[in-house]
Parts: sequence; structure tokens; C-alpha cells
Amino acid sequence: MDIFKLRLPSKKDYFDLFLVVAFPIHIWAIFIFLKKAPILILPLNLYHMLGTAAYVLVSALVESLVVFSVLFLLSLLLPAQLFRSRLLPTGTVIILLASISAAFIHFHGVWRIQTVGYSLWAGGWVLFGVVSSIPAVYWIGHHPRLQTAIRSTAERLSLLSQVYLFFDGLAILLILLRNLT
Amino acid sequence: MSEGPVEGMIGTMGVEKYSRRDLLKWLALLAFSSSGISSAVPQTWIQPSQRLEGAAKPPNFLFLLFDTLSARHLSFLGYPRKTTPNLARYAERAIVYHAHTAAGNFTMPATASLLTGTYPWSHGGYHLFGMLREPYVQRNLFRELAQDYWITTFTHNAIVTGLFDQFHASIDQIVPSRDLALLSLPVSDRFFSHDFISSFWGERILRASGRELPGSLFLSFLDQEIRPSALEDLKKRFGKQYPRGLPTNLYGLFFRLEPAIDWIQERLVQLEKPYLAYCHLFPPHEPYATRQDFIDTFIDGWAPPSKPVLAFSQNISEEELLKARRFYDEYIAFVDAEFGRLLDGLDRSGILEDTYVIVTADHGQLFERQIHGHDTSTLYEPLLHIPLLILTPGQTFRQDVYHRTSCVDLLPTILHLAGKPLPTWMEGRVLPPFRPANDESDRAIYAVEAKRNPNSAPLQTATVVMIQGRYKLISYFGYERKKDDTELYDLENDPEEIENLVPVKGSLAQELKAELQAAVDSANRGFIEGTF
Repeated sequence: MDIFKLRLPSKKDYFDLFLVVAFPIHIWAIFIFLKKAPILILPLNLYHMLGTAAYVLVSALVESLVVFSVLFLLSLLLPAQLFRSRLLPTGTVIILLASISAAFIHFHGVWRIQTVGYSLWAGGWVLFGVVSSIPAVYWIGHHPRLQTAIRSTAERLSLLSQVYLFFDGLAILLILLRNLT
Repeated sequence: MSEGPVEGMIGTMGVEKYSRRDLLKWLALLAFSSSGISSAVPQTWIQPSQRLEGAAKPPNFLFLLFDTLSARHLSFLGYPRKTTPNLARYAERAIVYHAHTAAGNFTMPATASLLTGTYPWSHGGYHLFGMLREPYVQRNLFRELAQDYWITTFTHNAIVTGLFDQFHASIDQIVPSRDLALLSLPVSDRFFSHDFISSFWGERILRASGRELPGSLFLSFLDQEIRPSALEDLKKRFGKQYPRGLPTNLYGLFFRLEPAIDWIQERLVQLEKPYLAYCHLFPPHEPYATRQDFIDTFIDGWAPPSKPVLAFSQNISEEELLKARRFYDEYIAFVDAEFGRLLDGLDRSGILEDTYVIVTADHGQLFERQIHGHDTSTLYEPLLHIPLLILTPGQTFRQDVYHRTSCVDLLPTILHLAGKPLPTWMEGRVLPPFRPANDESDRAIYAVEAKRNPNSAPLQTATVVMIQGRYKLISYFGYERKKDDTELYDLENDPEEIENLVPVKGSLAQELKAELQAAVDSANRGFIEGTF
């Protein structure tokens, strides 16, 4: 057990990282929900709109858990030096770069980019995510002040994420209510 | 005096014996057949509540509803391409309605009208996956029969699944679409079957498709990977049988029609009687994925008359429309073959002896005026004119009905046949020939298209049709990009709706429009009175 304790970062670091992961996923899900809300206003009443929002929020929560579990596994598998001491700043940078890449990949269809095919566009943004993460992780490792700055940013994001988690909890209750009554 | 074959014919319908006076009346009615108000067999008012007297059990009902089946494309109703030899075969022992009308131009308003016996302006089902207004969730076919009938439903159509969800308290068994499908990608109906509408919308927001942004930032990539590979696998298995692609409901369900037909055949013989089986089958809705043996059946160079482009053009070329029409007709021929196979099976198993089989559609399809499909704000006849055949138990002859009828009439008719009282909230009335003879008054029939109107607001943006006698008035109002407008057609002399009569019959158009406006105002009164 001691080996695990030594190898694993603190529970607080893990929880903070989970909140950071939940932030872009929830922001995106809420943004898309609000974008499509005008379509829902026509056919649905308020109760059903809240129900739809609840499914979107709970899915964002599940997605956050899945993505977090990938980072959790990485923290177990990668050399301790890389993750244990700076899990939060490293994880924050990786998740934010991955989110930006993913968002741009999704916009391919919306922007109707004709000149670059989807595979090339998506591949380019995956490459951007990976290539930009490597120097970012390196710089974080060698600049304690950068670590502090990212950590304080992450803590601010975490605050917002806690609000989302609160609404996720309400969403779970609403879904249970809708399906059990 | 012997009444010969007439007595024999009527006898098979189980109606009491007829006198010489009745025979003379029928002969007189026969004389009207050429004027379009009678039939090959004399029009008689069948009173099922009487014929049911002494019967051990109320009759069974089987609804066979084919999505997007326009009556204007069916050879047994006069279409030049031979699309429906099997429907024609069974029409010879059925009541055939020649002027049956949908209440909307797509599944939600039209099917909700059929199931509630009310027009869309009452039930409020204007949108693809919408909610009916609360009072109408409690007013429907299933609820009215729930006490006495075993009720089972099946559909490939996700919109109808949404309706079943709203009515589920009165349905004994809702067979999930995925049970008779090859591949079902949605998960909402699997895990949240009692909250289908909200979970469906939630899933739709998260997964999206095409040019929509998915609400799931990362997991949607997995979805995009899984979908094509699953489809590729199906293509390998069924590509030869369905060269134009597998039938799909456009919301991730891929299926073949044959298993649904087999299921109906097998299921009906096992059902507890009396039963109501409501089967809403997706074909021939596009994509027109006909089976290999019907491909290129109608390469005949035939083209319908050209029609004026008046409103909501989609700028689709004549060539494209002709091609789409041919593909649709070939899909109908396939559907017809499966219909024939089903009815033959039901006949063999004796189901037709104690069951009313009601064959109809929710709405039609348009291939004219630069418009293809039914996602349009127009309400021309190919969209509204739908087939209706009723095979009464043991019927052996054909009876044609030329009266204008509406899909809202089916619920009162079924209740009448089941010997149930008719609720006052229904806007339809019992169909001929089941209608009591004293209910002959002429009436207007309506259809409503109001996708852009909120469900929770009075009707302000819509296309509304009123058919009164031979005249059809189409009123467009409240649209942002189209000024309010009216079209008037004489369906008797111009069934193709080519000449808009508003310029030449202005006063008649005004008169009918005032009547239509009064009907809309009356429908909107529910908001003022707070009943919606």
C-alpha cells in the first residue's frame, strides 16, 4: 500500500484534476445545448427542456469521468517524475490543449472547409495537440513559477466546475424522477 | 321475392336481411356511381353496434400504417404505374376510400391526429419530436380501448416512438424498434424508454451528425468511428439484396421490412383477444431503399403533368424529381409485395375472419413544383391524399367510398365498431359506411402544417387547408419570407391543383377564407380560455 501512496499523487490533486477535466467538457456541452435550445423551445415544454438539459449534463459528467480515468491511468503508468509531483499543472495543460484540438476538429463540418479534407484537418489538430503538449510539459517541469500560475488557474476553473457538478447532481435526480415515476 | 346475389353479398357483411325497398334504394344509388359518390357495391350504412349484438367478443383491430405512402402513387387508386398489385387484390374484398385526407404533411401532426381524432391545432403536435398538449395525452385511441383490449404497438419511426412514449400508460406492449432491426445506434430508447422524448433530444444534442456540432467533446469521436464500421458490415451482408442501401429511419435504425412482416404474422395469432395491434412501418419513406428485385421496374419514360411553382420551392430540377419519383414508386412496389405476403399469411391463419384490418398512411410525398419530400410548408394533394382500406371481418367484396374523409375519422370509427361511446372532444366522425344514416351533413376537412409555430402558442405561423365540398383552400400566414397568401382549387375538375382559382373566384375564396379563419380562431380559443 505504501508503494501506491508513494507513487500516487494526493487525493486532492486528483480531485482538482477531475474538476479541470470537467470544465471544458461541461462548457462545450452547455454551449452546444444553448446553441440548439431555440429548436427545443418550439416542441418542448419547460419540464421536458429541463429533462433534455439533464441528459446533456449527466453525459458530460460521465464523459469527464472517462477522460479523467485516462489521465489517472497515465499517472499510474508514466514515470513518477513526470506526473506525481506536478499532476495538476501538467494535466491541466494537456486537457486544455486536447480540448482546443477537439473543438477545432468538430468545427470542420460547421465551417464547411472544402480545401482541407476531414482526415487531414483532424490529423493536423491531433498533431497540434500532441506536439504542443510535449514542450508544454517540458517547460512546466523546469519553471516552478509557470507551475504555480497554471495551478492557480486550475483552482479558479475548479471553482466553476464545482458549480457544474452541483447541477450534475440535480440532473441525476431529475433523470431518476422522470424515469421512475 | 328472392334477393339473390345482393342478399348474399350483404349477408357476408353480417348485416340484417334487406327488403325489396332496400334493393331499389341500392339500384338508385348505383346510378350515382358515375357521378363519383357511390361505389361498385351499393352504399349501405352498416351499423356495427347492431351487428355486434350477440357476438361473443368485440372485434379485433389491426392497424397497418405505411409511412409516407401517397395515394397519388398507388395503381389501385388510378396511378398509371403498376405499383400496387397486391393492394389491388385485397381492395377487392375491402372498403376502399378514394378521398381520404391526412391532417398534416409529416408524421407527428398526421399520426397524432389519427390517434387522437383531433386536428393538429388541438393536440399541438406540430414538430418532429414534440409533445402533445397535456389534455390530448389522455385522449387517444389506446386509452379509449385500454379497458377492454390487449394493445400492442410497433414502429420503425422514432417520431412515433415518441408518441407511444406519451401514450404508454394505455399500451400493454410497446415492441421496441430495435427488436426488429439489424442495427440500432441510439441508446435513449434502450435505457430511458419511459422518458423517450427528452432522452432522445439529449442524445441528439450529444451525438449530432453531418454539419452539426456534437455536444460531446471527446466521446463523439468514438461514436464517429463505430458508426461507419457497423454500417460497412451491414453493407457487406445485405448490399446485394439492397443495392440502394438498407432501409433506415434516418435516426440510426437500420432494418429490413421482412422481419417486421413476419413478426406481425406470428404475433397476431398469439395475441389475447380482443386486441388492437398498431403497426407503423417506415417504408416507403425515403431513402427509397427498395429490394433488388424491384430495382428499375419503372424505367418507362412516364412523367406527370407539369405544375406551377407557387410557394416554398426547393429548386429541385425536373430531372431529379422524376428520378426520385421512380425510386419512390419502385420502393412502393416492394412494400406492396410485402403487404401481399402479410395479408396472404393472415388470410391463411384465419385472422381476417375476426379482425378489422385498417391499411393507411400518415401522409404522402411530393415530387412536383421543384419540391421533393414532405419537409415543406406546402399542403398539396400528393402530401395529403392518403390511402385507406378497411377489411371488415370476413368481407368478400369491394365497396368504394368517394366521400371526402379525414384521418381524424378513424378513432370515432374504431370506437363505434368496438361498441364504445364517442367522446365529445373528437373532431372526426364515424366513417361511411359505418356512419349512422342521419349523420349526412356536409362538413369541412382540415390539414395543418405549423412546424414554425411554438406548440405552446396560438396558431400564428402556419399553412392551413380547408376542403369544403369540391373546393380546397390553402392559406399561408405568418411566414417571415412569404407574405400571407391564399390558393383555391376545384378538386373535382382540377384534381392536380394546376389552376389557382383565387383570381377568378375571388368572392368564393374570401368566403371560404372567412370560414377557415373562424375555425383557426376557434382552435386558438383554448389559449384564451386556458384549456391548453
